[in-house]
Amino acid sequence: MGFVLLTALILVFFLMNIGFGSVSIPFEDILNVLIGEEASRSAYSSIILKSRLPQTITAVLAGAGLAVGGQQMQTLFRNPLAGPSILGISSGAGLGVALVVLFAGNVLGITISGYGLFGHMTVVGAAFLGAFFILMLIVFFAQALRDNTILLIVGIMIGYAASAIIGVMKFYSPKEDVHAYVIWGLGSFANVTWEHLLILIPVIIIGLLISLLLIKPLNVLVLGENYAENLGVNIKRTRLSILFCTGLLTAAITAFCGPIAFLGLAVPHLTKGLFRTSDQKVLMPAVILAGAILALFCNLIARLPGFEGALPINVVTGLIGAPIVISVIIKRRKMNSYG
Amino acid sequence: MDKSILLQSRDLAVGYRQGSDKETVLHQNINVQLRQGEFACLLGPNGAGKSTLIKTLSGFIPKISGDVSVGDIDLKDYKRNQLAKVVSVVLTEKLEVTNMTVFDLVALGRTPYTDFFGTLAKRDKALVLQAIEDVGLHGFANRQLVCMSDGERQKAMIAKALVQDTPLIILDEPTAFLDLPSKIEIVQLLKTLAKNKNKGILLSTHDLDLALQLADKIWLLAQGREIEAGIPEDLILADGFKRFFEKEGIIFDNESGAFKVEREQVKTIRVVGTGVEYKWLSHALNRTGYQTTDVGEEYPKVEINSNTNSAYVLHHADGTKHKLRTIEDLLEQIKEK
Repeated sequence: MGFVLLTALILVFFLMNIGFGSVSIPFEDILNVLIGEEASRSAYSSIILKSRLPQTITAVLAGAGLAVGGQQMQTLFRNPLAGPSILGISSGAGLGVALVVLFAGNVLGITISGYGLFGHMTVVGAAFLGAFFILMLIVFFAQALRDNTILLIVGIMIGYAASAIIGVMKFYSPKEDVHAYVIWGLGSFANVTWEHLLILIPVIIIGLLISLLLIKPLNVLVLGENYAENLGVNIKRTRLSILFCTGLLTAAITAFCGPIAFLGLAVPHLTKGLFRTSDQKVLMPAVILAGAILALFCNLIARLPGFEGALPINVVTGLIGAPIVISVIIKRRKMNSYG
Repeated sequence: MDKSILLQSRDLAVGYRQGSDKETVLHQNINVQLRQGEFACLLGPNGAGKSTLIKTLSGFIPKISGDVSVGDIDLKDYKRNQLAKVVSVVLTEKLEVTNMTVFDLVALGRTPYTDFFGTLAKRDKALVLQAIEDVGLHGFANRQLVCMSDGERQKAMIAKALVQDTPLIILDEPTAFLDLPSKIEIVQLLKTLAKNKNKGILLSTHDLDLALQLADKIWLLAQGREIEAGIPEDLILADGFKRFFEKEGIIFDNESGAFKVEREQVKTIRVVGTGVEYKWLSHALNRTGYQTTDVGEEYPKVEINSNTNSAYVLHHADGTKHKLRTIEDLLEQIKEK
């Protein structure tokens, strides 16, 4: 029942994302372009194929990937406030981008933001390297630390440290570069081209497949590590696999879209509210679908006629995400006072 | 080798390792056995190392030296998934999961037997439902865990251990945060399960009373002593509890099998009567610092008349009499004199 609803929603929002925007495109033309036929106006097929389709696919991938990351982190750390970027992975991406955009501009006198596509690929590469560097750091600590709470704190601290370094760089950078960095930080699904998707699609698919392979150990981890170990789960390997899976998804998405806030944290809660189960066999596919839907929805709002792309994606996810986080906290409090 | 022995340790030393070379030994020369159908309780004061021993025996932490075997095989030779089919555990920790039913929780006990995605076969489902019945949670299968009491949740955990289908179940203070009736229920349940399902069950606990009443074997553990194991009665007669638990001001009464608080009892009162009133009157007098006796004309005397309204008659040494309705009134009267 729930899955039918989610699938229907994903189709509806997918088509709406392609149809709505500064130029409205008739439904018939959308279908024609999508199945490879001619549209009634050549501009339509150009808009859809060059801009809206890659953007919509990016939203689907990013939403699904971040939501899975959030679900995994919340289960691993048994903490409802964990998200895919809780371990500082997106701060790592930010650090990479800051090094390229701010530091290069400062020291080498190059303004990356003026270099178009080449500049964009450099930013993506830097973000991915930065995120991956932090991921490796986290994996290193994960092997040394048995206690998940301490690992979580270490991750958050690493995130703070990265942000601090970024702050220093911002302080010494010219206005234009800081502005370029701030824009990157607001996130966008719109800068991803078909060439980028050739990289992004396989990476996200690999990440999502890994997450499906981790369903059984993740289910047992709900009981805590001791019970899980007694039930035959290899805790060390499972933990590293989960961290790697979330890290890979977050690193790739952040590299291409910038740090997308709240989605990964909010979607697992929405999904649990809808399905009322703790079984990851149901939750994981549901989270993938719901993540894609919420990202499509946010992207749609960001592009509503009137805003014309002026509303950054993080503004929208934040405005939707914040009320969800608040309601979750209040609901948990209520539950605790009953118990 | 005796086939009924499930768990056996020989000259086992337990403790913990810090770093690669530094090890702290908490206990050594541990030689214990647990048989099929046997319910054993591990007792000992806090900080005695009960938890370390339990964790070593259930394979969570490596031993320091010596041998532990489950069945005929050394514990360290088990593969992860094999061990999960031999030893199941129930721990102190409270489970806080939303959206999880008793069925979901118990079903996780089938993890070592299910396929790659953890799909439950028909047989698995039947076993889960049976275990939920066996622990007395009839009708609870679809109940949410958050809507249950702590005691019921621990019962569900025991059901999880049952479907794990292991000959051995080890429980690390599962009753620590439960109220008294739940504690009694759980320990009784374990005793029954050990007998009816022919499992070896080891429980670490602080509940001496319950252990004395229900355990087949008791293992006594205290810091700086060698572990002692035996049936409760033999341990009492050998002053085991006295040696392991007595502290200044607390004495173990071998006759009643319970702890008593040592008090200075300066005055003596003679109590004449029988029955439950006699018992609790003596209790009240002892508690407030009087020694009680059955004989001796020289002491003040309390007579018990269970059938009248003023049940207690206090005879002072000077011959005066007071009739009192409750023990509280009586204590007041004695204090005034």
